[in-house]
Amino acid sequence: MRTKRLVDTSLSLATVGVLSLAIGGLLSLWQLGNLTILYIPGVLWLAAKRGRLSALVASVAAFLVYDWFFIEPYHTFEVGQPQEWISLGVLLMVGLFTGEAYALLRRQSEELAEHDRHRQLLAESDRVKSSLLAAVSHDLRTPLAAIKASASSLLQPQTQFDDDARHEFLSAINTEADRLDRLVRNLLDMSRIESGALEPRLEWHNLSEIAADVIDRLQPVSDGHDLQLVADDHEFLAEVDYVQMSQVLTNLVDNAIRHGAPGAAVRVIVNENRVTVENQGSHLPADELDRIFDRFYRGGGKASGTGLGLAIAKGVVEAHGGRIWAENTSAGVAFQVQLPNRRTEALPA
Amino acid sequence: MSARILVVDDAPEIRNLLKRTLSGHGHTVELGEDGVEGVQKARSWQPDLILLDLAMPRMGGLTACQQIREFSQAPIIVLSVMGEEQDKVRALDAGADDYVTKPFGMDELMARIRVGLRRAAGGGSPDIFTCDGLSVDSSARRVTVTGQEVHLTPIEYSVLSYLVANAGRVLTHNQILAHAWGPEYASELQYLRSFIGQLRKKLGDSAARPHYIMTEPGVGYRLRSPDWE
Repeated sequence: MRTKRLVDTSLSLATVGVLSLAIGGLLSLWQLGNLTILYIPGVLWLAAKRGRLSALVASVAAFLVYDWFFIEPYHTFEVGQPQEWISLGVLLMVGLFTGEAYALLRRQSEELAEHDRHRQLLAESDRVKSSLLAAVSHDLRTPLAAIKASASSLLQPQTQFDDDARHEFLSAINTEADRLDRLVRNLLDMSRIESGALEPRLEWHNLSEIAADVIDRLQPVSDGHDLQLVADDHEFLAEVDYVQMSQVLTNLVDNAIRHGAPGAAVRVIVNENRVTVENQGSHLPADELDRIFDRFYRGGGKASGTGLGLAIAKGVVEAHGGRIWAENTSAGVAFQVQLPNRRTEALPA
Repeated sequence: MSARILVVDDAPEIRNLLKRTLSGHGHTVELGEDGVEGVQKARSWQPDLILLDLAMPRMGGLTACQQIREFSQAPIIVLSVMGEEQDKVRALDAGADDYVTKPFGMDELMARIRVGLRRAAGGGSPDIFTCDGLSVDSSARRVTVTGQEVHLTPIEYSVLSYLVANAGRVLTHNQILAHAWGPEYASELQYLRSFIGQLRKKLGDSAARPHYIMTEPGVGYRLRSPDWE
C-alpha cells in the first residue's frame, strides 16, 4: 500500500515535470494561457491509470509549478495578474473533479466485476447441485427399486414362493441396502471434500489388510468378476485413515468391475505404500486418463455410477498427501495410488 | 439364554425392529426414546443389557453411558454410524462394552449381545480358551495354534490373555496399551500397531486377512470369539 502511494506520487510529479518542461519549451511559440491546457490530459491520464490520489497530487503540483515558473512575478507564489487566478483555479478544479469521477467509475466497474464473479460462482454451484441431484436420484432409485420389488413380492398374500425364491428376494434386499449405504457414504465424503472438511485421521495400517477387507465385502456383489488380492504377507505400515482409504479402494474396485470385460478378474496389488487396482477390458483414450477424476465425469458412454467415486478417491488420496493416476496396461486399465513414504520407527520389543 | 434388554434409540423404526427381533430371540425388551429416558429405565427396570444409540436429542448416548455407569454394570452396546469413531472410543472409555455400526446386520448384533451377556453372567474366562485352532491355557501360560506351541514374550502373552479375557469384545487402543505397558503409554498407537503385527505373525495370522486378532479401525482390536460361530 505504501509502495503504491510512493509510485503514484513519483509518477504524478514526473508527469507534471515533463509537461512543465514542454510548456517552457513552447512558451516562445505560443501564448501562455493556451499552454495551461497541456496539463489537463496529464491529469486525466493519471486519474484513469493510477486513481484519485495521483490526479490530486498532479493538479496541486501543476498548480504550484505553473505559479512558480510561468506567472509573474516569477519564482514566487504571488500572482500579479488577476486573470491568471482563473487559469490556476480551472487547473486545480479539473484535477480534483476528474480524479473523483474516475475513482467513482473504477469502483463501480470493480463492483460490477465482483458481482459477475459471484454470479458465476453461484451458477457453478447450482450446476454442480443439479448434476449431483440427477446422478444421485438415478443411483438411489436403482437399489431402492430392487428393494421395493423384492419386499413387495414377499408381501403378496396370494403368492407362495419356495425357499430358494424367498432367499433370493431377501438377499437382494440385503445387498441393495449395502449398495445404498456405500452411495450415502460417497455423498457424505463428496460434500466433505467440497467444503474442505475432509481430514484424514491418520493411523498406522497395513494397506493389504484394508484391501482384503474391501475385496471380501465386494466379492459377493462383483457380478461374476473374480477379485484377487496380490500382496506380500509381510507387515508394512502406512499412515492412513482406515475408513477413508477403504472407501478409496471400494470405489476403485467398483469402478474396475463396472468397466471390466464380463467375468474377467480384477486385481488389487499392494506393494508397501502403493496400491494398484487393475482390470481387463478396453483401454481409456489418452484424453480421458485425467478427466475421469473430474466430478460427474462418466467415461465411455456406459452410464452407470454417479461419476463421484473416482473424484472422491482423488480427493481422499490427495488429503493424505498421496497421488492417484490411471494408466493403460496391456490388458486393461490400472489405477495407481501412491501414498507418501513415512516409515514406522523400529519397535522396542 | 433369555435376558432383559433395554433399547434406547430416538428412531422409532429402529426401536420397533429391534424389539421385534430381540423378542423373537426370546428376550424381554423395554424401549427408551432418548438418553434421559434411557438412564431412568436403566435405573428402574434394571436390564441385563443395554443397546444405546449415540446421537439422540435431549441427552446423547455418551452422557447417558457415563450416568448409567454410576449405578449399573449392565453391559452397554453402543449403536453408532460410520464416522463417529472418536465418539465410539469415548463411549468405550466411559464404560460401554462394545459397539455396532449402523447399518448393522442382525447376526452381528446378536453375536455382540451374546458376548455381552456371557461376560455379564460372570462365567469368567475358563482356564483354557479355544477358538478355531487357537488355544490359550491361562493356568499353564501355554499358547498353541493347531497343536503347535507358540512362544510369546511376557508382554505379548499379557496382551493376548487380555484379548482372550475379553474375547469377542472390542478393546480400545488405550485400554490395551494401558493394560500391557501402563497408562503412560496410552498414546503410543504406532507402537501398538507394530506390536499387534508381530503377535499376529506368531499366531500364524496373515497380515492381510487376520483370523484371530481383528482390526476395529479407529477404535482398537477384537479377538475372534467362539460365540461367533
